[in-house]
Amino acid sequence: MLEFRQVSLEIRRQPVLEQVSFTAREGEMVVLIGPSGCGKSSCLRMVNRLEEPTAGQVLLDGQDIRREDPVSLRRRIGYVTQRPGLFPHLTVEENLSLLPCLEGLPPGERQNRAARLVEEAGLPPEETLFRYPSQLAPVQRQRVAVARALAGDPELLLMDDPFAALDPITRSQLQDRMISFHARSRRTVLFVTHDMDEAIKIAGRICIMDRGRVLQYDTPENILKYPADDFVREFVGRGRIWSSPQLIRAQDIMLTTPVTAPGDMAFLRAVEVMRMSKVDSLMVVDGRHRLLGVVSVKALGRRAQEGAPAQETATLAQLMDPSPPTCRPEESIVSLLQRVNREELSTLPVVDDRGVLRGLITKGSLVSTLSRRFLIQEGGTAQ
Amino acid sequence: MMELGQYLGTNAPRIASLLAQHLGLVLLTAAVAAGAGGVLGFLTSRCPLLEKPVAAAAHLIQTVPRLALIALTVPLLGMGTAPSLGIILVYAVLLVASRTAAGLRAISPDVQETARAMGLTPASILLRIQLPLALPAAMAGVRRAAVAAVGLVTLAAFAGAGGLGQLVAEGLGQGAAGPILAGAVPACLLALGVDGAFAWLEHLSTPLSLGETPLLPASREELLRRRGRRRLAWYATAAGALLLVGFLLLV
Repeated sequence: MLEFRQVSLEIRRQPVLEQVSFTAREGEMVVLIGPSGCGKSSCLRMVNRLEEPTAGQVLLDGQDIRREDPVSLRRRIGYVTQRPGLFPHLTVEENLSLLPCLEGLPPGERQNRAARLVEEAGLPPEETLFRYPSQLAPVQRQRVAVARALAGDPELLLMDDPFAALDPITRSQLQDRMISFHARSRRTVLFVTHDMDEAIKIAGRICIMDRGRVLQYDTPENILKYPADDFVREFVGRGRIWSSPQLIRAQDIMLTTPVTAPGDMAFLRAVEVMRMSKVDSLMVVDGRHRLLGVVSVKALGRRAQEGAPAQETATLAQLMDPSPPTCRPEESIVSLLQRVNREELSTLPVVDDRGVLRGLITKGSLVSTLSRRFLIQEGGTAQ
Repeated sequence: MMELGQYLGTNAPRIASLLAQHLGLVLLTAAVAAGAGGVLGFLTSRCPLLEKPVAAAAHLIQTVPRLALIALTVPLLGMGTAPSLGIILVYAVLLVASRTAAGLRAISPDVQETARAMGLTPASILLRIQLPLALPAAMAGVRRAAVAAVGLVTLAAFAGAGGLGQLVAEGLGQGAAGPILAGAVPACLLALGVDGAFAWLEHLSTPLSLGETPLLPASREELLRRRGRRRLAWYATAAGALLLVGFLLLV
């Protein structure tokens, strides 16, 4: 829906953006982030033509934005900045109604629209509309600014670090609002921030920039797990994925080569294999590596005590637990921990939707994964 | 004291006529300064090249001794009302222009950029955003220009113009207290009156939410009430100004 095609920008001979290309899909929340001076704000301002590229094109719905009159373009795009920029000589209602008034909306409708917008922004209309911006608290002003950006029902919303000037609690509340608003309205949003936590929290995709170039453009999860280079890794922060543990999944932390055995292996041979591999359980798999069951030393021991006949010639297929608890590769570490605790598991095979054994989670592997968090903070290596 | 009383008694019509002439010249100056000065100030804020020359000229003309300024017109353009009025107009226009430009520059850049980014046309931005926000500063400039004009017109009498200065000049020439006082005292009162009147205009042109005692309405009713009052004040002032101008023209 919005495309940057090889966009470059030079200001006074200094390169600000170099061949920036990316696309924002309809209804997506794209976050631009990077160190100061990386050009993220300039990118944003090129969309509503507050700045013009030196080279390259910006396309909105496939059309070069330069083909359109800037005034009508800007009316289709909402813009919110760090400082609200509300007009101080107008009441809140007049601030919100300015554009509708110019577009010929009658006064009654204008008032209704303004009241609705204010309410959606989380402010009481009767208390807010007649007041001047100077009477509002900063966070209220920012909410009005967002409401004003939405006044024209724009298809695209540009937000330039709008929550930066607010205290952390209000910022968090507004971020939550932003997320639910975006989920409801499915508008395309281009959001600039310098706060990595904010980016991870709200973004559908994050575009990491440095010195005018795009370094990585991907989902928060992929950027946390597979940073494109050292700069990205450092910028994101080595331990940051721990702030979003729900993104750590079974497939990221599992043992990928658990010890397996076919169903027809004999009991004594299996014991030997377990002893030599120093494991206390075996995954019984078929020819296509699909999980058939789990055999654990403990279970075998119990059976022996119960006096099952002809142990020596029994096969694993007869001795195994045919429906062990398993987990999916996408399951999050949070859910895994809960299950291991609740069901008192010592092993949890990772099985995909075709039944194929992909890996193994053990209490030991969980402990070593969790310990990486603290080793990272003490200067160890990242996962 | 007795001299003054006598002089006033016998010369009342003349004093009144000179006073009217003086006031007329001042109001003319104020009007031209507001119009031309406002336009020039706006152009200056748009075009960075004009900024330095206009500011420098305004500063220069306010620094130079005023009598000298007036007197310089005589060798160049001759005696009479018109030449000195010319330089007075230049003075006033430059003053208002520099004040208006400053007022426009003082508008928060966030506000200006937001106005652009919203998709307001340049005309709308000018009319609905820049004009209301810069008007108080411009009016303050007009006020200063009007008060300065009272003084300059007084001085202009020495270059052959009309106005109360003529009485002062005569008095000084004859060494008589009567004419001097008859000219100087009304001039002082006129200056104070003009200052007060334009202070009122300045107050009227400041948006309710701005200024030294901004309105912070606690209810919609309060807002509407104050706005109603403000509107009434504008009408009353406009009516009063029209009456005054009509009166002066008749006289």
